[in-house]
Amino acid sequence: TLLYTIKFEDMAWQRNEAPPTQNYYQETGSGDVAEPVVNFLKWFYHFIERNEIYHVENMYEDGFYKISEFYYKDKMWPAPEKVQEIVEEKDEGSIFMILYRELYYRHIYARLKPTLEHRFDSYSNYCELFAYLLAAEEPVKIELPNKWLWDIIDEFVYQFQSFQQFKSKAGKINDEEKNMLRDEDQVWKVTAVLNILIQLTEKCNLNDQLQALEEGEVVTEEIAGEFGMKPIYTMTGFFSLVGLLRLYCLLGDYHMALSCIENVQFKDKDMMALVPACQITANYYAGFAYFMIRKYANTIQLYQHILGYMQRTKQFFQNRSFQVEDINKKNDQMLALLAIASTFCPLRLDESVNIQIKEKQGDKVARIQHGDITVYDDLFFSGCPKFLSPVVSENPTSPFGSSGPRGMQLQVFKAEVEQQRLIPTLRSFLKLYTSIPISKLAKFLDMHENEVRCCLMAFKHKKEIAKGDGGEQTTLDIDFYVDKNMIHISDTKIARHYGDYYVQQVIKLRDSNKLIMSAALNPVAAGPTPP
Amino acid sequence: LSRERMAKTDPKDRMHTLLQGIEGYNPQHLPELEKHLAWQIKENEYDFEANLVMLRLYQFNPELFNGDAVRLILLKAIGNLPFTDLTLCKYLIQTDRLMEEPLCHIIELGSLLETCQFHKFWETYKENQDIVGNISDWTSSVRSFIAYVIDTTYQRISKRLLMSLLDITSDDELKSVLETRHWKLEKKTTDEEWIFITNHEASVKSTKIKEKVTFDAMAKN
Repeated sequence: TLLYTIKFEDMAWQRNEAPPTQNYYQETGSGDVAEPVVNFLKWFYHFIERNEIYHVENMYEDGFYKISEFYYKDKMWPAPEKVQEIVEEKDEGSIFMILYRELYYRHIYARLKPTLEHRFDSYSNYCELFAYLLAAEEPVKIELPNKWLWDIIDEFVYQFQSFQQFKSKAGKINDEEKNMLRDEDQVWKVTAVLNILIQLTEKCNLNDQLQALEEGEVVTEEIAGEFGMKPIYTMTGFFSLVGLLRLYCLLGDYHMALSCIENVQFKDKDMMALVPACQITANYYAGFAYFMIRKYANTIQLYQHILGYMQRTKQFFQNRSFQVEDINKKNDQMLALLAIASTFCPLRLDESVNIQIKEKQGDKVARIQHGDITVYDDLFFSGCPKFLSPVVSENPTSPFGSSGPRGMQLQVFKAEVEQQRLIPTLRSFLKLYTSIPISKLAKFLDMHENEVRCCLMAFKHKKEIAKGDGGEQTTLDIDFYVDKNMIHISDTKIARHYGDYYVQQVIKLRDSNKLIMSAALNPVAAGPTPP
Repeated sequence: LSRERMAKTDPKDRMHTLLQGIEGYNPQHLPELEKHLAWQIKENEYDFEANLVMLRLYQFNPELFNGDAVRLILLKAIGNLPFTDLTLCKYLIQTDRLMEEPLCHIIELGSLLETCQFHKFWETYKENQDIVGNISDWTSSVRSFIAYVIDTTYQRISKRLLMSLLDITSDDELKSVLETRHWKLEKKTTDEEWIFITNHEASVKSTKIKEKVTFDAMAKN
């Protein structure tokens, strides 16, 4: 029997069919739903029910986005009740309906402004979704594409962030909303959000699995448990771990952030690499956590690696404009943080990264080197995430509301900048000598000898911390020791690297040769013939 | 977790088991944690993870904030320098709180240590000794840190300077420090006495890093 009016291959969104004229549809909810959308929903339901993950992935990544662009650019998707009618689903609590509602609210957050009711309803939908996974006595049968699982967790954390930010704008909340917030104080509670993410990681024995992978063992049912053997649980668990990493950073809890990922290896061929957005997010937040606990070498190592990866894979994201925007933003944030980190811990950076920093932050770096420390504030603000406070008080004049979460983090960071103030100057003087008496250095720096001694010790102390837990690092930093009243300095020079340059030229030559050969074979195609 | 296992293990293990997962955010554990903190002070033990849980609970439940507990936690963190415990703590405490007495003095002490202004540190400490109270062995933890910094910076240091940095006044105290750290008092040749710390000359040398070009690396490109 022909279930649907149109074949899957012939669906409009696959042919990039243009949307109809503006006054064809009435307001969403009471009007008609366009036929292509009806077909899309019916096929979507069909594939999800039958676990045909390849088609589900295709419809999710490509179809949903295209239809949103064409038909729902500034409107909501059809109401869930309407969709339930269309696909003839009797149970409003079925997994398809839960998943549809997730997409429905996600669309509202992305393209429109969610009302307080939307926020509450979306939260209950998430609770239903996670209860479906967590309360199951045996693993659920459904399978979902990794990208979708990542997006669910990412969006979940994002909506929590959005809720906290909404609450903190106390001036913009009307009385009715204030009452609603007071009545439903369990909604979007920070401990509930944390609890869900933690439970998702525990359901599949994620830490045990990661430890086994780290030691090169194969993950068996004994390690992973019954639930951990199914990809939907393990992947959701892993993405929840990255979600926790992000949430801990937003709350200023860097110790927890780094301990939760202690068994995760940041390699290209890892669980993380299955979804590029996940890899970028994880690297950004891990690097940021290291940055805030002053282990700059680790930050530099992570960011260099991921920036290189982003350069190489940029072309694959071209068809998704909103993803490219996100990625570019993270790129710039990491560059800002890298610029700061390399003033505290000079390490050799890849040429491509160096060029990017010069382009985007060149003038700021120059100002730092001239002793202008106010630039650090700007760079920090561009690079840092949108911090959250776990508790947002109702009264906007309360002392906790005014010194907001971002201000708090900045204060601690600024204290560190203040502590490091004299070090770049010290470093630049020391670089000029192989040995220098303390008295002479004191004269140059216009400080007392005692102050110089303090500075020298602080330099050593900070350097040890900045090294972090990285292994061999190619450091550009100087080293020294003090013998009686004389400072003995050693320098690490890096000989010019010709390898990369050489390879670039070889590739250029090869390409030029190709061009010449093709021109020789097709003289007409090569261009206008000379007279 | 079975009862027998819990009874056998030491207080730190017990506490960590109690605070697993989301329990680390359960404010009902605060009384137990405060007792655990008192135990650390008395027995010269240190449980950074548990102390962080307390700070988190105060962050999530500001009405339960206990200034005295925070004072002790920060002091213990300073005692664990050069590890970055103090910085991690600061991120979890509201700036306004940190600017009030007595916490602001403690933050100042921490700052002086981190910028290695040791003379000023001892001055400030002596002015505020009552704030520090009687945490057993706190000053020896601080001296440990100062000695560590001296270790990494100096090859030879004058006896006079060393004693002032560590705030030790008697030769007996100096002798025990030298023994613990394996430092040597050199034979007195001039009127300045020198102490040999460690041979940095051997390890701190200028190097030139040459590029290694291999076929494999080139082939990848």
